[in-house]
Formats: sequence, structure tokens, C-alpha cells
Amino acid sequence: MKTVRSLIAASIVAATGSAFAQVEAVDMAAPLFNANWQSSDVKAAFNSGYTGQGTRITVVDEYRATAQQITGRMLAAGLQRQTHGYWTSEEANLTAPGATIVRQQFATGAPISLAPTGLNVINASYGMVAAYGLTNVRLGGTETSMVSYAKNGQAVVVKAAGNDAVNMLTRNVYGQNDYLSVNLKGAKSAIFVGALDKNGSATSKANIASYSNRAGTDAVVQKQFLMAGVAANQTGLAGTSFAAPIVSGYAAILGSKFKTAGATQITNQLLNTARTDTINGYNVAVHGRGEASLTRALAPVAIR
Amino acid sequence: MICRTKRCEFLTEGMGALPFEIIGLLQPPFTFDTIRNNYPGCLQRAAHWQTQRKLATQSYVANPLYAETCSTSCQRIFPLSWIPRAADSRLFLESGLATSFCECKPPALKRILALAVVALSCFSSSVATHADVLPVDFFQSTHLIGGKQGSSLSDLAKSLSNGGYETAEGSNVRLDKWYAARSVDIRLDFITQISPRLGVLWGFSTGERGEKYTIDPSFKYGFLAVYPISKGSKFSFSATTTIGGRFRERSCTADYGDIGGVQQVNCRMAATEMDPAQTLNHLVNQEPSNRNQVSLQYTINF
Repeated sequence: MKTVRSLIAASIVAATGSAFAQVEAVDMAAPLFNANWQSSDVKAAFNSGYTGQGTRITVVDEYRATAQQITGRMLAAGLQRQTHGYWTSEEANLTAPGATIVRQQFATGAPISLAPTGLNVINASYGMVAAYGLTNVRLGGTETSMVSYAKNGQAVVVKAAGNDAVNMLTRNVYGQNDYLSVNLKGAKSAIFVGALDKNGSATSKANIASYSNRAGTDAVVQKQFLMAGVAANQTGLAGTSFAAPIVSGYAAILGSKFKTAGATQITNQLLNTARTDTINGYNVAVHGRGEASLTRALAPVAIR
Repeated sequence: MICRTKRCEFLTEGMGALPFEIIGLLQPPFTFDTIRNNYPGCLQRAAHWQTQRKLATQSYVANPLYAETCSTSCQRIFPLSWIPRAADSRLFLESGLATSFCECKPPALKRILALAVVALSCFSSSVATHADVLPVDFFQSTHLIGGKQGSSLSDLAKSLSNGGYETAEGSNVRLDKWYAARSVDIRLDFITQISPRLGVLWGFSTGERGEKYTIDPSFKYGFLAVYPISKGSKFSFSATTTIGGRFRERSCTADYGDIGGVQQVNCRMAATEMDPAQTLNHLVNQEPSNRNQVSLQYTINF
């Protein structure tokens, strides 16, 4: 048996133009954000004021002060420099400002606590990477609880697909595999999220980002694979790490609308309402279910 | 309408051939007590007439109800050509030469209108003391003063019809099919002149219906009073109120599938982030914005 401990957080593809100034940490309660990176769906949700109230998003990520500081811009106020976890949690917060955001350091062994009421969403913009082909890999307590919640439908677990530009659950160029994804495969409330190069529309279709992992040929993975636009040209931040919090935010918004729906129902709604007409050359083996659509996920199947 | 002649009491002399049975005759001079004592059927009318007389310090004022019912219902007795001018009326009453009472019962609508006139007359009596009220024919003294297709609430329905959304499966939902008017609201406004200085404003609207909304029919009533200030200037005051005309939006039945089931929802908000049940709180249920209107106008001719 081999224990996989703290492994590599999702890689960040640096934006062009790195002469970014450092600014103070943002006030998460007052999101005067640079909304150009967000889809019109999120803007509409934000403007209406119904943005995830009564739900909790636990963003499991890297928050240690000693970790790499990354410069980017999500707020209109200016540039920020902070760790990966603060970026992903800020993005989830900006997508669903009404949701309670809980930051939890990954790979500490501490199980994730769930809110006793309301929808729980867990965002995992990182992977647990080790040599490909290992069997009987044991995850730490944090990740074990995450997998358990996904398998039992207790929380929507949104997992970044990875930035190796390979099919999900296949060997990357370093001969490694992401064992957190392996464990989440087939879990009833787990979603893998790949990155598109922008927010797609029927008239301006998006392409899969060059770094993003693909859904692959495994039908089980295809069924739980979504995509979201990562506007790196706006934020200076790229990677599937920044695709996953968007879907986490969507899940929270859905949870605030459909208060009695469980994590599995929310998960299925996001997967079933994904759009394929906003993606250039849609292919299930590449794009899975398609681009996550908050608008369609909120809408009824039929109305009269 | 048939005038019940046996309950019509005609008190006059020298009025010529009449189609009604003359059941009483009072020789002048007579008082209202005389009428009351001799013709109990006329009690109410007489009492009201007396009230009017008390209010009119300078002249006797004909009872508007009396004018309404008898001048319209018993036109053969009182053709328009007979209707006395104010001075004539005073002359008649003071001399006791001629007056009449009639128990003709108008149909329901006319009765309502007549009551409205009476109510209006009472309401405005203090300001109309010097006005010379004429007993006039309802139809001949009524004029169409306005007609309009549509209303502010029709515009509201039109504004609700803008836009749409997609279903979870990507089908387009257009709001205009729900908020397009099947029949547009039509309003007609009239004035019925009851004196040279006082008129009753009234009107009605037909209402409007769309698949997901209704504008109720409405009835509007009020009055217009004109006060000459000088030869070339006058004040006019009008007040109206509207009954009905409420805009009511109806809900839709939305199927959210496994995540939300079938729910009643505001048609326009079914695809928003709002809890479907909460959207029902945003159904429009609105009275006409101009339900009560008061207008004071000063006009000067030069």
C-alpha cells in the first residue's frame, strides 16, 4: 500500500504581461469584480441577487502563506497576488456571492465538515498525483471524506480535470495519474471540469483550452465531465483550477433555488443541461457533456 | 318602461292634455307639507325637494332625481321643450302653478345612474348653491368626451411580453405568446350635464385579456364643476374615481424534472435564480394608476 500525500496543485498557466502590481487582499463581502471574465449567466444571477444563499462551498486548496503567490485580476479594483486557494475561493465567491465560502487546506488529513442544512459543494482545484498504474492507493483524510461525500451524494464535488492536455485518468507526460480523479470516477455527485478558452455562445463558439484534460473515451467519465470558460486574457489566470469554481458556484446557485434538491440531483441537473452548441467541434470524447449552462440548469424542462 | 300612472300624482292646472291620471290637484299656494299630507306616495320626493329648497336660498332648485326620472321616463308629460329654465322653475314653484311627481321606476342601470347623480348632487350641493340645475333628458345631455384603445395597464402587459428564455432542453420560451392581448382594452368617457355649471363624468372600459393576464372591466365616475370668475375666466374642478380595472397576472405550471418537480411559478421568472414558490410573490396584481383623479383648472380667455 502506498500513501499519496500532498501532491501537486493544479498547474497555473501564466498570463502574458506579468508586470502586475501587488494589491491588498480583497474584501470578499464586497465583490466589485471585474466581470468581463464571467459568463453572462453569472452576471444576470449576480444582478438579481439570488446567488447561492443557504449553501456552502468548501474550497479545499492551498492556502499556506509559504506557498506560491500568484498574480491575477478578478476584481475591477485591480491586481491581486495570493495563493492558489485564495484565487479559487475568490472565484467561487464571485460566482455565488450568497454562498458561504469555507476555505480548507488540502491534504492535511482533516475530514471536510459539511453544513447541517442546505446544499454542500466541495471544490477541488487540485489533484493527488502519483505514478501511473498504482493500485491500492490510499488518500488522506481530507480527500477520503470528499470521495465519500461524492459517492454517497452528500455533497456536490467539483474536481478540476487537470492541465496535462490528456484524456482523463490516463498517464500524463510525466507518467503520472491523478488519484483523486480516479477515486471520484463514477461517484454519483462528482463532476470533472475541463477548461474552454472562453465563455462560449451559439454565435461565438469556444474551444477546449490547450492545457485542459479531455473527457476521454471512458463512458463513465464522459457522463460526469463538464467544461467551463476560463478567460485567462481577462484575469491572467489559466488552468482547469479556474474552471471548477465556476461550476461550484453554479451548483450553489442551483441549490439556493431548489432548496429541497439533493447533491445528486444538482449534479445531474448541471450535467444534463450542459450545452454542446457553444463549443467548436463538440466531441463527447473531448468535451464530455459540454459547457455548463447556468441559464439552462435553472430553467424548467417544460412550462405552460 | 311603463309609467305606473296610478302612482303618478300630477299637481297642476293649465297644463293641457296629459296621458296620466290626475289623482290630485292642489290649488296654489301650497306647501310641501300639503303635498306630504295629501299624497303620501310623494313623501320621499317632496322631502327631498324640500331639502333642495332649503339648500337653495335664492331660488328653488329642482330635484335632480325628479328631473332624471320624470324627464326621461315620462317624456310625454315633460318634453324637453317644457323643461323650465332656472327662472321658470323658480317662477313655477314660487307661484305653485305647476309641479309634478312621478314614481316611474327606471331600469337598474338608469337607477344607478340616477343615484349617482343624486349622490353627486348632494356632494356638490354646497358648491352648487347658485348653480341652476336643469331637469334634462339623460341621453340628450350626455356627450362622449373621450375614447381610447389601450391603457397604462395595457402598456404594462406589453412590457411584460418582452423577452423570453430557454428551457432546460434549449427550447425557446417567448413571453409574447402569454402577454399578447386577445382583445385590447377600450375606454369610453362621457359627461352628462346636469346644470350649466355641473356635469357628471363617467365612463367604462371593456377590460383586456391575454393568456396569462386579465385587466378587469372598469367603471369610472365623478363630476366636473365650472365656476365663472369673470366674463373671460373660470375655474373648473373635476374629480373622478374608477371601480375595477385591476391587472391580474396568472401563474404558469413549470416542470423542473427531478430537481424541482412540477410547480406553480411566475411565467416570467421560471428560469431565474429565484425559488419557484417565491416567484409567485412577483405576480403583478395592480390597480389602475389613475384610479382617483382630481383636477383644478383655471381658464382665461383673451
